[in-house]
Amino acid sequence: MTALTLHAIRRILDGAIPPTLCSVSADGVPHVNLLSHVEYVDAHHVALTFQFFNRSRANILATRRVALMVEDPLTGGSLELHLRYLRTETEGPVFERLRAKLAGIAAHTGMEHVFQLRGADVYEVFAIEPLARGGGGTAPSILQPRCDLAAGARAVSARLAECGDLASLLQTAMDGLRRDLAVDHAILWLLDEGRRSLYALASIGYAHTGTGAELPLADAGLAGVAVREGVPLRIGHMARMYRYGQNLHQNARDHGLVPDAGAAIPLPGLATPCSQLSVPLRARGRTVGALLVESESDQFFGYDDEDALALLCAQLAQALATLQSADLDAAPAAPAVAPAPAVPIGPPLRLRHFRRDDTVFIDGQYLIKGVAGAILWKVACEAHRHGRTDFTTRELRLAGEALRLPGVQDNLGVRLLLLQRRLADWGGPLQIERTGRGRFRLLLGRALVLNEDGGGPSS
Amino acid sequence: MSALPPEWLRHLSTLTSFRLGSCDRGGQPHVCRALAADALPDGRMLVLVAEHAAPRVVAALRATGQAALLMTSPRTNRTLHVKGQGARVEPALPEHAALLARCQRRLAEEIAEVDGFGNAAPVVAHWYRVEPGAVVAIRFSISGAWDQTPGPHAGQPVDLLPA
Repeated sequence: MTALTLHAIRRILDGAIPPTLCSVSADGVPHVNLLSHVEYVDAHHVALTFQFFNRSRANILATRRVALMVEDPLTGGSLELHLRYLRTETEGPVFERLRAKLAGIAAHTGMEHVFQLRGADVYEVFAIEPLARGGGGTAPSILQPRCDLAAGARAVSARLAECGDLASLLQTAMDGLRRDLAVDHAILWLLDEGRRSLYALASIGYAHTGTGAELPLADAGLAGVAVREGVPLRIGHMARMYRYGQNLHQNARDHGLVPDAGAAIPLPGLATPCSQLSVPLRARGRTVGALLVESESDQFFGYDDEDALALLCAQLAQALATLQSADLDAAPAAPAVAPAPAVPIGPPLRLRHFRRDDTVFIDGQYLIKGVAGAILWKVACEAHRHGRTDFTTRELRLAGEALRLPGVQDNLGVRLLLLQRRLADWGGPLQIERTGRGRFRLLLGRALVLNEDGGGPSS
Repeated sequence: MSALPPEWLRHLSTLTSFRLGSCDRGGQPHVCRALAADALPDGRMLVLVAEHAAPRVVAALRATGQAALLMTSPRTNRTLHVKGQGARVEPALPEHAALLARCQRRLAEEIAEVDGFGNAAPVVAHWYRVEPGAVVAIRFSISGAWDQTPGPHAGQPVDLLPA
């Protein structure tokens, strides 16, 4: 019979049935207590929460030996794990993962003021013993996985590999989440390093796409922590501290990330999520954003979701970087034939630009800010002054300093895509379309009136 | 010999989920799910366990007599932790069948009320699907008890009475 591995049983560690810890004192007196969950660290280690200085803690430090019983909510089968205490971590990825999960469980049980994580106790697992039940007969299965995650991830990955531009890459990724991984709610957040904030590039499953919505990194809930720590985080019972919504929108306003005048972009997201999983987007050794998926059901996501999304997010992050570079490096080619300019109908569009943070308003309505706002203002000025409507990403890169790009190569293509999607959401007579690799066109249905920093209008 | 006070004896019927721990001669702890527990008239605790599902715990109890019993309510999280010494392991008696059946029914009812678990009846039935001859009765004297209900007062000792 093949020995059980920790990897094979990690699904059981999540605590649908609370795991049971048995420690022992130096003089051989056992002590039993329940745990909220067990955190899988790697194939040979788990981590447990250290919350209280109690008998269990004293025993662990005295003898370092504990037994752990975990029970499978699908089959009723039980396992006894024998662990050896190694160390306590008070920061870093494992600590953050435990803290996120503990916060979720505490909120679910009304114990937010009681459960405080002091540390993540890391243990070596040196034995896993099955505990026979029911005369060794076949255990019942009462739950089915919602889909084949491995096959789903493979299908999405294959389609991502065929994408030749950022827009189709993004669309393929978000469509694949729904179609192949049975995820109904998701937000792709990208990191603005200069502003220490996350901005939404795409979403599925919400009344508002929220494209361009922005949150301070420190207040961006699970996605913010995933970006900060560079590790996936998963909560089965949503915690107040990781829930974002109206209160976080207020935080964004307080931090100056939401303009005081005009309507802000509504944040995407469920009002009362029960489960969330956030997976960082990492490429070339850096974290560039995070995918957040959520559900209105408890314990919706598991370790297999983490694996599937971690693979897809790595591919997505790498493809984002590669396709951006390809666009930036593209040699100027003849622009696609421009359609005959539309005859402006109706009053002119009034664009107002604030240099402080490159916020752009159109007809008094907030549209975008930051690098995307700077791009819009630059091309609008060119169109207004010189009648140009065709541009290249290369010229934007050369104008990088004026556009205040943190690193010219970093995010230009994504910011352009963000601007394009934001304008599409807005739906007015000013749009951007891609006309070829490294090329885009401004589509103007009205004359422009430009107003810089609140100064006099230029028409 | 000590006994649980009346206020905790009244709660016992609401504590439906049982875990039993022990420690072997080598100092290694072991833990398992127990099927039933009750207080005996002489103050000792009675615990019923399927031996084939807990061979190491039962062996450790036979070897050292050290027992730690956690009784909890999945619905309310009320939890009582009882420790004892001199545990004796014997075959279960026919009259224990009623206690087993009662504990199974109460556990299934409680887990069904726990948010997020879904249909627990098959799992509970699986735990209790045990041949009568496979059940052992463990009796031990109480040396200490603690209220382990999660919250600010977790770990408060229970004042025991003389048996």
